[in-house]
Amino acid sequence: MFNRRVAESRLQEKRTIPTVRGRILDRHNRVLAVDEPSYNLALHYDLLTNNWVDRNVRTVARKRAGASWAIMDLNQREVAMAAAREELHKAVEEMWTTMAVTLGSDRVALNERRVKVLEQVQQLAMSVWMRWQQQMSAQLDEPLALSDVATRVHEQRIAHVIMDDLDDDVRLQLQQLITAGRQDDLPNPWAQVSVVPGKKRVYPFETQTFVLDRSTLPIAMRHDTPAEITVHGVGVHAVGWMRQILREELQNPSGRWAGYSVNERVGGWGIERAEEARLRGEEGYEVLDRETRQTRRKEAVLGKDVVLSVDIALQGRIHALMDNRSVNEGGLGLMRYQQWRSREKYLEEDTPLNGSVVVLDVAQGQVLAAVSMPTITMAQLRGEEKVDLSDPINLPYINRPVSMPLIPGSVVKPLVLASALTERVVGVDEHIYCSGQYDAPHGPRCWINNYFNGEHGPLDGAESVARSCNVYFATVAARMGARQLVTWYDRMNVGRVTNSGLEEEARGYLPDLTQAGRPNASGFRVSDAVQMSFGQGPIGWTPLQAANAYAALARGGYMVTPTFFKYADGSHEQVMSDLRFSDAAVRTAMKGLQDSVYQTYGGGHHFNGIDRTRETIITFPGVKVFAKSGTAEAPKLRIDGQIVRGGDNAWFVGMVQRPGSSRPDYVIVVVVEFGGSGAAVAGPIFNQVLYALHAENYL
Amino acid sequence: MIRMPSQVITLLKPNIAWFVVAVALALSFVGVTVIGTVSEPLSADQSRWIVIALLGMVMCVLPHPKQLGVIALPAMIITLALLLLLLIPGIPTWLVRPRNGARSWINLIFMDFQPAEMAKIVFVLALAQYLRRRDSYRTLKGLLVPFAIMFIPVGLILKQPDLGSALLFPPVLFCMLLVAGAKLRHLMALLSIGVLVVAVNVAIIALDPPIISPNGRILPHPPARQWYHILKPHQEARIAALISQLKDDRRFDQTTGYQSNMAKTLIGAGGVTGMGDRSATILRFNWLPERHNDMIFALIVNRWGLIGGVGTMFLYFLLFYSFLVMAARSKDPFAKLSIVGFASLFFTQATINVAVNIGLMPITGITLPFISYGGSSLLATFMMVGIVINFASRPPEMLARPSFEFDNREAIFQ
Repeated sequence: MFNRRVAESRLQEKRTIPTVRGRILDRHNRVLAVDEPSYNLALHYDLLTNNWVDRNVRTVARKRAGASWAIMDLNQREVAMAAAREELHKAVEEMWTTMAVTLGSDRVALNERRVKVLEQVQQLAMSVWMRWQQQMSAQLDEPLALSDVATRVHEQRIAHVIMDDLDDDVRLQLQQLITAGRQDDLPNPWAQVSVVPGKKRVYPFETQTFVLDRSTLPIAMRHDTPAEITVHGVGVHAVGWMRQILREELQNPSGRWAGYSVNERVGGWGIERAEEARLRGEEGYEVLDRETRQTRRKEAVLGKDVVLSVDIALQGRIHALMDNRSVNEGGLGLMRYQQWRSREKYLEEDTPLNGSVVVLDVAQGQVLAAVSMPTITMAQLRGEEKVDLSDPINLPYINRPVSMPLIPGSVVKPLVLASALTERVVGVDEHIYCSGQYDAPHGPRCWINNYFNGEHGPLDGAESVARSCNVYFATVAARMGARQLVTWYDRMNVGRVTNSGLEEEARGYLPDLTQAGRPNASGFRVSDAVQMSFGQGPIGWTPLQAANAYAALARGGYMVTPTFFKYADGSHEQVMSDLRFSDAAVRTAMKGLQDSVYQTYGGGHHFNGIDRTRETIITFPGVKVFAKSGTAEAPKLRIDGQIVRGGDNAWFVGMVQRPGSSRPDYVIVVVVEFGGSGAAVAGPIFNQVLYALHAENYL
Repeated sequence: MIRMPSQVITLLKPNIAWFVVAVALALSFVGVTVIGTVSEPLSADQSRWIVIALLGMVMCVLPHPKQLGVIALPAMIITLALLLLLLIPGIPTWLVRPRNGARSWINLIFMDFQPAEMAKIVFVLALAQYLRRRDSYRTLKGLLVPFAIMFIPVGLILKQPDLGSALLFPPVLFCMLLVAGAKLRHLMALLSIGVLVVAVNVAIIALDPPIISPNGRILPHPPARQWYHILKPHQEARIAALISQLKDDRRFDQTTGYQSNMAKTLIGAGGVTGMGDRSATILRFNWLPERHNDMIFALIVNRWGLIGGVGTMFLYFLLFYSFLVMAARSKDPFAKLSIVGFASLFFTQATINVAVNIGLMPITGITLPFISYGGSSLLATFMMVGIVINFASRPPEMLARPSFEFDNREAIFQ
């Protein structure tokens, strides 16, 4: 009785019982994302396009003519229909005016919304038609015009929301108008309007205001009075956003969106996307048998909350530091290009810079903050503010801390040292002589030779880290060979996603160990190893990967999966592995990092300020800092053959240890793309992050 | 003492005409009831039309067959004129108003009149009148005139376009020629050509089906392949959808094949005994286009099941059988041929309709006689019954020419 079941199934009227999407909370249970009930105003697509008038002209003309319609000829009918058309156009105009008044908006604004919806639907229809065109042209073996396949797609047959989150009194007024419209015997445009219940996703901490002390900034930006900075889009990259599911995506019954319905909103980015299954919950349903009037009900299952490891206040505070608006526009100026901090001049003075900061808790591997600049705001995502999402220079939608691998530069040196000492290719007390150039006359030069035509002389491991000597590391790497060095990088998770919980994570770059066909027995050239020993060549890591590797060093060699979640359970399990660094290796690398900050010769100790005065980088008192700067020569960014960005990526990566702790508590990674000197550009931001940690009671 | 006409005396005695009327009324009752399942007002309408149709039937019982024979040709000319009127460009639209693109109806203010329905009656009568007086159709060349009599109205009806009505004429012509004594080999040859044309067209569609867009839009074939596609794209699409559905390919279930698929679902849902009163609810939420017209058989089976469907077909069989008995008893060649014509018309119409409903033929737009909703079709159907009763109620005329005993012709004159 298959057919009877099919026929009977149509007697069932199914109504879904909506669920409530789970909340996203920060580590202190502050609500970062929550569903709130709302009412939206929706208009049928035909009303938006004015097709509604054409569709109803005949009905109105016929009703107006009454019995005489039967004996009217075509010309008389045309006249009657023209009058009806005018009447309907007038009714639609009146509807828009009344609607604008009721909404407290104006016709122009409403029209903009209308045009926007139309554009979206037409764009969608166009993509569907183009696919049909392609399929059918292939089927027919003949080129087809788009008009041959262009028929109304589903979205052109339904109502679309043009205004969301209606106030209660506006909603009631609109509902009265709609009810009156539906009771009209003649076609009434209000009958095509509906107030539909919806949910809006609210991100309460997306906008935050901070008062920041400017007295500890570099002299060029220092000020006696604090600055009040309001930042938008705090945590948006990590928390993510919602998007409308596409009908196309639902067509694969076994795909990710199985069980979803048209127009449902789903996680589009960040945690909202990665944790969709947990957050979404399960819609319930009520089935009414239209024959027996009996109902069957399955209750909805509420979505589960997701608790992040991120501290949204810390995130906001660092976001404010990273705000790349100019000082005049209300920013601090740390993220503006200034020529005195750079050795190359590709950018105009005061150009906004892009970059990121990651703060990782060493003990648990939890991400406390991951700031990406430029950011993107909810207003921009909602279309209320303009933003060019495809801007190829700034890539605003990219979550830089996890998605943008960069050449690491010198910040890898302590890790290379620990590896080399563990492999015993160099002794703890062994000195290697830096004459300014490795393997002269063609080998790479040390920075001291580049800038001052000088040399470091004999250096041990710790000092070579502190002084950031390229020759020392080139020599050590040549002894290790490329294969061994790549193996160590691989153990530190470079070139592999860290599984921190975000789908947007990038792998980074590292030569494939299985790669064949390269000269020499180890598969790689020694020159590859030499380049990679100071963070150049075929290697790239994300700020999170950098933080993760430094955290391993801080733990004495234990790698723990970094995570964006506060609680490790089921899908977010953290895995631990031991890099097996020798104690001496860790001790020496850590000493090098500490000397880098506290010895006057250290690369992380100071930079020369705007007037060439020496400015100490780390001014935050009472804690122990282990850090390394890096000024990494970055590949130039070209668009249409033109160089639009060039110069060095500024890195400052390190650890901070609270008084009383036996080992570092937090790893901080700062990177500024094409910013210039690691010490002068990223270093001050690192220092300000320490103040931010203090302000949020971490230090 | 009033002398009653012999026709009335014959009619008052128990006879087969009573039976025919009873079957026709039974079928009409099935129609009214099943239309009532989906719409009470339409059912009431149909009941009123039955009364009018019965009056029309009585009107057709009265005139003498000879008079019918005499008026057959003028009636044919008038009908052709009306069919032509439908096609004249510039005719006021209040008089001829296209429906779904077809110019098939004339507005008579109180009702819409469909000349194609009248054409069915007068075609049978005119053909019978032609065949009774000649035997030229025993040659292949002689078949030209009967075919011309068919093709003129068929051509005009196809122009409306009303493929469904036009399809009924060739089988009627075939049956009447067969009974009149046309040579079987000639008819078989013509039939073979017809079958071949249909088969070739179906094969073309099966091998090079029309492309139907996901929204049901039918795309034209590329110019290089258009020359061998004789049927219109929408006709090809229906056949292609039917072939697909017969192969259990569900692609067209929501577009071109929707109507056919829904009819089959409703028929299947009826099962053996039908869904009874539940049928009304089921039909409300399983929308079948033209459900009270062309697709009414699906409703019958849904309501009364296989038993109801077979019962209805049995009633048609009884009607057809009664017509054949009356034809066999009739000594008048005009009457005999007319009865066979009407019988074959009903048979063809019912067979095609049922075949369409159960998904063996593509949708053609043919109604189920006596049952489908529609005034002018019901009136025409009962008028045919009236004419048949008229013929059956006449006492045999003594001097009638022995009909169509061609095989003994030489023997008679020897």
